Amino acid sequence: MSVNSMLSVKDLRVSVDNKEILKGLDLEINAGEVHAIMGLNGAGKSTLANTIAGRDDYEVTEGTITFAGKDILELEPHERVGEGLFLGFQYPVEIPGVSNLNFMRTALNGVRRYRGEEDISAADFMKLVRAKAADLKMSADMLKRFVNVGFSGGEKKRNEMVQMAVLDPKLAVLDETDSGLDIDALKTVAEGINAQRSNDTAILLITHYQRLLDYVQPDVVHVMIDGKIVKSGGKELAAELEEKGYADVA
Amino acid sequence: MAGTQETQDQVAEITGEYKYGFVTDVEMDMAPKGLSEDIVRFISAKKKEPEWLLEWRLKAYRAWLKMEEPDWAKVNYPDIDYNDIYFYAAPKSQDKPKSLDEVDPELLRMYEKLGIPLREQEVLAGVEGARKVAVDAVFDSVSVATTFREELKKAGVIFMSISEAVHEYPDLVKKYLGTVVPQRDNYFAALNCAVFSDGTFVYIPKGVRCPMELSTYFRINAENTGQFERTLIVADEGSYVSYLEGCTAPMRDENQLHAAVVELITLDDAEIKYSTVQNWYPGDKDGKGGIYNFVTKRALCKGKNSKVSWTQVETGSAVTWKYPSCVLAGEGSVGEFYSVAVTNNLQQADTGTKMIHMAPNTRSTIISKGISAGRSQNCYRGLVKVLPGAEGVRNYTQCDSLLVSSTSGAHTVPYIEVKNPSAQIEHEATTSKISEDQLFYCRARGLDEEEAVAMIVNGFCKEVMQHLPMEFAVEAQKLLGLSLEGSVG
Amino acid sequence: MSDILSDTYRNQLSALTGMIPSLDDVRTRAFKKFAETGFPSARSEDWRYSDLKTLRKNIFEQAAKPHSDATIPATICKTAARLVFTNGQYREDLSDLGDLWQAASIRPLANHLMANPDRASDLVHGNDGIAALNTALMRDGLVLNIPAGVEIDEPVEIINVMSGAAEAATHTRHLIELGEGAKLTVLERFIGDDSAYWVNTIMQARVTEGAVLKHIRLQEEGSNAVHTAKTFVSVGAEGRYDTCNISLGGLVARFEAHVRLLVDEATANIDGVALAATGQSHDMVAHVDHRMPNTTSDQIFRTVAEARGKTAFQGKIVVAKDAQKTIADQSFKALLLDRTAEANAKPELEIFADDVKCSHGATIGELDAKALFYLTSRGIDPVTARQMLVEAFTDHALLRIPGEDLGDAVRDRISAWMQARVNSATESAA
Repeated sequence: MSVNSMLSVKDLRVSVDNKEILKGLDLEINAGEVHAIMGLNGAGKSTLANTIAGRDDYEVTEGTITFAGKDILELEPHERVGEGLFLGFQYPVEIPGVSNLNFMRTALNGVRRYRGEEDISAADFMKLVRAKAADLKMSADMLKRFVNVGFSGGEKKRNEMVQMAVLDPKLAVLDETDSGLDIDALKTVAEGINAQRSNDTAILLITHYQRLLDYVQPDVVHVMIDGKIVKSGGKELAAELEEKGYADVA
Repeated sequence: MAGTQETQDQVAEITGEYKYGFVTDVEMDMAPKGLSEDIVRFISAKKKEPEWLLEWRLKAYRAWLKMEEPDWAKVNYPDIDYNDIYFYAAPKSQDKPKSLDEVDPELLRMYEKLGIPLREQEVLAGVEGARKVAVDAVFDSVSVATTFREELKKAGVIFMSISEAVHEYPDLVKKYLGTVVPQRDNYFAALNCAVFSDGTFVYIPKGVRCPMELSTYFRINAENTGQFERTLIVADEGSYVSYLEGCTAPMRDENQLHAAVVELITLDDAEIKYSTVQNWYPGDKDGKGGIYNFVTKRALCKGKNSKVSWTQVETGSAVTWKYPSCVLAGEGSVGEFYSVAVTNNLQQADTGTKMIHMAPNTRSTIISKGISAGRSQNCYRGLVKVLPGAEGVRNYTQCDSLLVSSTSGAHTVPYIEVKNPSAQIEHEATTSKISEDQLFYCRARGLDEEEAVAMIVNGFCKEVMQHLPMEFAVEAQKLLGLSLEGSVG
Repeated sequence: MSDILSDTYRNQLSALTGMIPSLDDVRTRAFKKFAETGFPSARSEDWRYSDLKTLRKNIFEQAAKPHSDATIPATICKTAARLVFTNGQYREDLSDLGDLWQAASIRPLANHLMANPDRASDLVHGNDGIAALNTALMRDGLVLNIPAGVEIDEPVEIINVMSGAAEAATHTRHLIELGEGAKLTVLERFIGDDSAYWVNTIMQARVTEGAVLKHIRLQEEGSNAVHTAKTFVSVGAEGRYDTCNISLGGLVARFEAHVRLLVDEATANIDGVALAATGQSHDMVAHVDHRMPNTTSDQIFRTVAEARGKTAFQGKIVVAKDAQKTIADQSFKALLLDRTAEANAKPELEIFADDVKCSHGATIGELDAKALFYLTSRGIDPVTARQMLVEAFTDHALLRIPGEDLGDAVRDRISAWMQARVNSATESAA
């Protein structure tokens, strides 16, 4: 593990309902890097994302996940967020009756409290969230609406990006954030991701299309097949995959 | 944010267990335990009541003797020994306070602990301008103090304890008392009629919009006392009042009985908004102690186009048996019932409403949200009835239940009885588990499990909570979270 | 209950004693319960929408055989077998077993119990005085066993015709058992003349693993009849029970379905249509008990009432603590065609498991004026338009009736009912 290691996954084996999905997966991501994991449906990409985020029912039978030098496997999902992890959902969940604003403020204060910081004042929060929403071209109206309720696919993903910007994580794991987006929405989302890039942060993109990678240049591309990473390379690997298909590349 | 800083701060202090479980050390004036005609006479004499009221009480008592305790609700509790209850308890020092300064300071401290801003300068002020709340506090059986009386008087509003009203406005009281909930209405109502010790009387004159929200805090203090308060609100033609009721009781090992009666009457074009946050002591984790909350609340929409809106947030009590109802007798009158009932541990709640459509073009809305956690049982029970002469009736009912634990129960027992074809009655109900996806989503954004549950539950209850006055909404929201504590995991 | 009433029924009990010895004890115990509880009153929670005063005021003797042979109506669809009862007694001479006897075992209740005295313990005693009296006084019925794997394609029709049975009653009991993977459709029909008789019938069915029982009830009793019917069904793993109750006849009619889903993946679909003409009362009860995980139930009920007609639906879904992943739905809609019509509903949920999806919806109202206008604005006369809308309204509850013939026969009856309403309205207007 290098000194600036952000995420280190070693020999990870994960079962869901007693069925092994991840079968000894290794992954090293350093600060400042953007990685992309590509793979077909059922390869285990979402399982990896959910396991990193700490979802119940994803049973780690072997291996370790070290985030910023800390073993996070024993941490609760919200504690991992406190440590600086963010999961962008493939299917963001609707929560009727809870406004987006209230949701984000509670989340942000949860994270701040975890870090021993004071709650953010209502005024500062509004300033912050308005700015982030404007960057991502999200209307003020959508902030007041119930979380994801009645949002289109694109709006939901945009909402994920606003939440990411507000929580400002060290590592963002974005699960199929590009699916279901038209080209304009895709560009906006890509801008959001690029804005999150810095020397101190890292991003893990999970996708099965090259499309997003035209707008977000990855440093490393991994190919995942049947619960393992079978090949890693530069961004040219993504183009190769698009061209030849998974079977030939792997 | 909504609500006042004061309320929020007070609520924020609350940690863990039942906050309101302190006992106030005030010397009590009590009648002997048990119930007999002599006790009824004793209560009446203590309050120097006129003969007609004593006779009224005795009639109720005699009727009660012949009645049977209802057993149709989905609640179980050991038999109540009516001879082991003090039916009357009053703070001794308090004869008749002329001002707040004369009130036992111990009492005032208690209200402070409760977060009731009894003193005028402590009155809650909402964000949008100064909203005033007048408080009538009922400590065990006697109304202790009424604030803001002067200002209300100017508007012609009568807001006082019912025992005072009996003396000061005998004609009004006599005219309306028992007209909505008759003495023989049910077992607990009859009991209340016989022994009610105090409560609140409100009269809003014609065309008056009550200048502030009226509020009563009920509190049961003495051991083994039943609280039998009685509330009577009359809104004369074209008037409006919003009334808030909050209830708390100290922690005790024994069960305490609370059998209140609330009667509301609206004349032509009048409106009453009645909000309750019920936070009686629910008993401990093993179901020891707690209040039996057996309450009869009913509104008579007597006048044309009048309206009554009940909003309740029920988080307390060991056993709740309560159905705030509307008799829609005036043409075009409107009844509403918005309810959140949370049960945890071994609590049992059987609550709902009755909407009786007697007149043409009457409308009603019922929104009920039940949340069951721990090993509790939570039942919605309701009746929508349309009588033959009531043309053009509309009703919409929605009852949703959310299950937070696998050991609790959620039940829905609606009755719909329609005898007029022009009615449009719609009823929907769902029961489901708290969603794993929602929980994980919240947790993946940094909320711990209890915060996540509280947030989802609050979202689930939104349609009801938005009908609460601002001051109550904040407190109620916190209460929801609090009452679900320990229910997760 | 009056002494005369209880003495009458006690005499009926004595008359039956010894006829099927294995039943004697069952009868005595059931009668004791009946004597204690009597007939349910409108005050009893489960019976608040049915008025049984006829039963409380009149004495109903056991119905005798009809004097002259009653006319047996024709079949309404192709059947695998036709089992005929008159005045509650099985008529071998009028029945047609078709090929059914080769594939399955069919025999009258008495024969079954004489041959298997120990099976008397299978008999359900029931939940109230009505069921208790049926148990005490049952005389006849059919026992139908479909062996494992046997699929009977066409419906088996069981028809009871009441004739000249004024102030008389029949208490019948049918037992149906489906072996693993067996399939059977039962069409139960009830017909009668205008005398004031009482049909009190219970069907018990056991649907074992993977079996499917479809049960269509077409109730066309005479206009002065009391009809009380209960079905008690248990469903095993991956088994299914579908029933549709069409309630058209009788003065006071009540049907109850009590279904227990005992093993994983069991399913019940309980549907019903009731049309209440002047003075009629139709009460339908559907009670589903989800005992085990992954069980599913669905209820669709539609009722229509005209002048002084009264309908009621009482649905209850109970989900036991262990019955996780239960899915249960209940839909009730009532249409009131007249100022004096009445509809009642009590759609109840009682849930003790948390991982469930249960819902119900109920609406009560008159015909949609907008829809009516839309149809008439397209050139359809108002009478036809009303008829179309009522038929469309009831149709939702008929969709699970198997076979086109049978479905059409039921729909024809609903059209005829509407037509009769139209005719009588025209007559009274004239």
